[in-house]
Amino acid sequence: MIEINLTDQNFEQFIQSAKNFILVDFWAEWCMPCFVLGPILEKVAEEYSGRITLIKVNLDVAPRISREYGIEQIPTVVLFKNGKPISKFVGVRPEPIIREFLNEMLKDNLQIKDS
Amino acid sequence: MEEIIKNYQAYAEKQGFKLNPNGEAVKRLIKGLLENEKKYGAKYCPCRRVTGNPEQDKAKICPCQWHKQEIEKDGHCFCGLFYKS
Repeated sequence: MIEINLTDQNFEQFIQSAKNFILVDFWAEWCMPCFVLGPILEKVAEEYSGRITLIKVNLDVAPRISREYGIEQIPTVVLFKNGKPISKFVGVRPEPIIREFLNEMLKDNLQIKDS
Repeated sequence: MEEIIKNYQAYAEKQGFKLNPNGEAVKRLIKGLLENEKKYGAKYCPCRRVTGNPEQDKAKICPCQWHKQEIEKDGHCFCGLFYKS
C-alpha cells in the first residue's frame, strides 16, 4: 500500500476531491500509541482497498488542520465521506473493533476485497 | 534520559503505579517529552496537541492532568508511560 502523507497545504484539496471514504490517521513522531495503531490501520485499510483510502497526517506538519478538526489527543482516526468528517475514534483499537467501525460506516454498499 | 526515567519512576512508585514495563516504549516517550521541551518549553505529553498557549497547555505537562483517571479506568495513562501496579 502506498503511504499518503498530507500537510496543511494539501489536506483540504485531497479530501474534497476524493471519491472514496478517506480514513485519516492523525499521529506524531513521538507518540507511542500511534506506532502501535499505524500497522493495524494499514492492515485493515488494505482489506477495504478500493472503498477506503488511508492517509496519514503528522500533527507537526499539519498543525492548522489538526486544530481545525479538533484533534486534541493522538492517535485520532477520522473517517471522511464527501469531504466531511462522519465519525472518529481516539486511541489504539484492535483490528476487529476497527473492522466493526468501518463496517458500520460503510454498511450501505460494503465490498471487502478478498484476502 | 536515565535521570528523567528515574524521576518518573520515583513519581510512579510514590503514587502507587509503575512505569510501562516495556523499556523501549518508555525511552520513546521520554524522547517525545524532551522534543516537546525543546520545541515548546515544557515536557508536554507527546500524545496531546500542544497549542502554543502555555495557560491552555499547562494541563498537558507530564504527568498530565488526566493520568490518574486514565490509569484507574484503562490500566494505563493514554500515552502509555504509567501503568497500574
